[in-house]
Amino acid sequence: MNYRAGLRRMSMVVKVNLAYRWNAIVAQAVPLASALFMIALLRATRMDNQMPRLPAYYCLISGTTAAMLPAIWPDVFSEIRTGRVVHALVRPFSYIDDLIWGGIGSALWKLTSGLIAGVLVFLLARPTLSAQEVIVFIVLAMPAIFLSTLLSTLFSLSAFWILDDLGPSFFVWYLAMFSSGAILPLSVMPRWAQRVFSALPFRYLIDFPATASLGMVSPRAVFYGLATQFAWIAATLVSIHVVWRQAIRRVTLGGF
Amino acid sequence: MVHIAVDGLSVVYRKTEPRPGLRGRLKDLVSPVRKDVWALRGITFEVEQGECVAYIGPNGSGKTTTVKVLSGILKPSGGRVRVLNHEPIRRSPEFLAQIGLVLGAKSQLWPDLPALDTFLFLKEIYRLSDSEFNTRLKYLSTLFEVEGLVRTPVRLLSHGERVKMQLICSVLHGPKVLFMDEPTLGLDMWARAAVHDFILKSVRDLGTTVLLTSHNLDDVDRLCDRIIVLNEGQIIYDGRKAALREQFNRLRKVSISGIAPGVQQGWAVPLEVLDEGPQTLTLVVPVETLAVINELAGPGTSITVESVPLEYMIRKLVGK
Repeated sequence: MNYRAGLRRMSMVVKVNLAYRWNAIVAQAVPLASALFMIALLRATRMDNQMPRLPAYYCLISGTTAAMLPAIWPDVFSEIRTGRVVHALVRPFSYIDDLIWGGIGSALWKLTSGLIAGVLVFLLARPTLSAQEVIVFIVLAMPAIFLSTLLSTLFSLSAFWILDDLGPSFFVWYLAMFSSGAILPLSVMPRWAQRVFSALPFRYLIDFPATASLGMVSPRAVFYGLATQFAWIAATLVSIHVVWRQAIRRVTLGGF
Repeated sequence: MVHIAVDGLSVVYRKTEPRPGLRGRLKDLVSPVRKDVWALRGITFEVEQGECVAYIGPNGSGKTTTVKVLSGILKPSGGRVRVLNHEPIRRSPEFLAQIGLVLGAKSQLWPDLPALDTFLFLKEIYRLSDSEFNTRLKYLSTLFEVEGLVRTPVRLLSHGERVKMQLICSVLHGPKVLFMDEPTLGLDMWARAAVHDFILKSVRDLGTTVLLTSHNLDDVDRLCDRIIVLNEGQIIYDGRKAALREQFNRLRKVSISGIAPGVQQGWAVPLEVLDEGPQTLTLVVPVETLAVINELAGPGTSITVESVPLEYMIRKLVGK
């Protein structure tokens, strides 16, 4: 693994985002607005009295949702459609490494810029949240970000089969929004939804790190959650390599 | 030393043939019509170290397919391929670090960042030392006259400047074998001369092996001594440019100006019309008929005689 090239790739993503800083600011507006709306809703319905940790939950995820939700990268579609991917294929740095390092760079950028949203929600909602809980959340968020990047890489490889990224993007976005806990923690959802969403990897991106750091689940569940998170990382890595083997054959057949 | 060895290379791929009309396209979703297409039909050639070989042919003849096989992107259906003693399809990092691919029409630069960022990324990919990187970048940016532009975001550069930066990307790591597909596409005559100069120097001074695919026969004429002509997946000519000229040395290209239109139709000499304008005529004629042509053209006309151009020779070989 060429770490220096990977770090350079990460820095390029951050530089591009710095060149278009409004992108990141606008991207934060959605989780910020959604977190503030949910906290207001909790207060209006007095649900925060029944579940006092919910405002803290929204405060934690408000700045990190953008970094932890997987997405389909339109750049991959454009590289494949225009044939520019050929350059990446003849370099001694695999295209998959290129995508993963770039994805981590993008997630770290979103995380950094998301701090503003997190701080704003904290100042406005004043939830009960200790420094220790924030630190535990950050530690648990790291594998979540890595898993999210891997899932984005896997989904983006669909570009080798599908022309337009819009359909899969919407599908992944909605599925991830609901099943990751970005809108509601899984624990307040109906039992059937909890069962279905627990079988998907998205839960381990937002719901698990947030609820575990706030002590909303048992220590046994934290251990089980961590193990599942790492199992999903391993499964996604294997899937990427399997899909990539098929994808490279598409390059062979389709040509550019 | 042989750098590229191709023996009986075949590539066949399956292509979906779309049916016409909306109903046809709907049927295609259920039962697509598939057809085997032979992109290459058992071609064989070798390229020695330090050779600059033109690899030319009409669209769809299999040029890019060959380059894809040689650079490890495409798996051959049959035959044996070795580049720098590596089997390209294995795509070993050692092999990939020694080849370069220039695709005139496709950029690897990041439009929102200065070209220098892409160069630095490539420096890490190819594990170049600081001094190696700085020396090569200085040499290349001076050669292509872009020293002052490497810190400008790529989207603000002109097309020609971008092509030059793109070329720097492909050769920054000093590849031993360079595959070039239309390297001078969209360049002005000065930039084209710089590219020619770079290739000639690389071949002469560094012993770089170049396989050049170009529709611009001026590139071929200027850079390559050897030509491989491909048509419908088969090699129809592989030899020295001089030998090809020898084959056509009994023909001349004659340009006549100040001549009445259609007058050549009554001439009883073997000739081939290349171009006909209101008062101009370009012909290819056997060298022994030149005196007769001069007489037939009549007074008031002006005649220029040249050897037949490379383009004509290739067209005749391909038969199109």
